[in-house]
Amino acid sequence: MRLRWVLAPAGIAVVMAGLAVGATARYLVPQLQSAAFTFDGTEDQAEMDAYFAWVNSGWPYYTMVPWLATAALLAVVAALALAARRAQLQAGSASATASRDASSAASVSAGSAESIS
Amino acid sequence: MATDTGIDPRYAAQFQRGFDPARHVAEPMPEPRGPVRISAGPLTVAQRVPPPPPVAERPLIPGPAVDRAVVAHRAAEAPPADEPEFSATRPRLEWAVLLVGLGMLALAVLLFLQAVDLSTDYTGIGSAFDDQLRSLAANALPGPLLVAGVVAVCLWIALRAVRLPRSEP
Repeated sequence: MRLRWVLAPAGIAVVMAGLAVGATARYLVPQLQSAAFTFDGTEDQAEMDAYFAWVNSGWPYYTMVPWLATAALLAVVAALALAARRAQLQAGSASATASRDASSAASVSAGSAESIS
Repeated sequence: MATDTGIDPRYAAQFQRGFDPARHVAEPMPEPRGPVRISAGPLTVAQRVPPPPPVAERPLIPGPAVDRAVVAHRAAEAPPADEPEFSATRPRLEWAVLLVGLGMLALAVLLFLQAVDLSTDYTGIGSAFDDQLRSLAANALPGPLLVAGVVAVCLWIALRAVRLPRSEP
C-alpha cells in the first residue's frame, strides 16, 4: 500500500479542520466588530445594509462548524485505519523476507557442505 | 529360559503334565501380529510438514525472484474464466461510490451558498410553501450532505488502497 492512500484522507481531514476554523472566524469576526450609525439621514443606506448582511450571513457558517468538525474526525479515523493496515502489511512483508532469506541461507550452507563432503 | 530351538519348556505343551502326543495334535502357530517387514523395495517416505506456499506475503519492494513468485501466486489466485462479471462490476461500483460522494459534496456547497444568500436577504423568507421548503433544505441539508460526501470519498480511498496492492507494480 502506497503512502498516498494514507495521506489522502489525512489531507481531507486537514482541509475540513481548516474550513471549520474559517467558518468559526467568519461567524465571530462580525460579532466582535462594532459599528456606529448616527441615523441622522447622513449615513448611506447601502452601507448599513451591507453591514447587516455581513453580520447576518455569519449564521450559516456557524451552523456548519460541527459538521465540518465531524467530517474532519471521520477522515482522521480513515487515515489512521489505512496507516495501521499499511504498517501491518509492512510487518508481514518484513517477516516473509526474513524467513525467505533464512531459508535461502540454509540451502546455500547445505549445498556448500555437500560440495565439501 | 528358551532353548536354542526357540521352545520354552515352561509353556510348551509337550513339557506339560498330562501331555499325550497321540491325542494332542500340534496346531499350527498363528501368524504374528504387528508391522510387516517389506522384503524388497525402498520404504516409502511421507513428509510430515507440507512444503510452504510460494508467496506468504507480498513484499513492498519487489525483486526479480520475488516477481516470479508473485506472478505464480497471481496465476494461482486468478479467478476462472467463467466469472467475468465480478471483476467487471467491482471497479464500476467503486467509481460509483466516488461519484456519489462528489455529488453530495457539490450539492452541499450549492445548498450552503443558497443558505448564505437567504441569510443576507433583507426582506426575509417568503411565506409560500416552496420558499419555506427551500429555506429548510438550504439550512438543514448542507451539513449531513458534507459528512456523507466525505465518508463516501474516504470509503472509495480505502477500497482502492485495499484492492490495488495486488495490481500495483
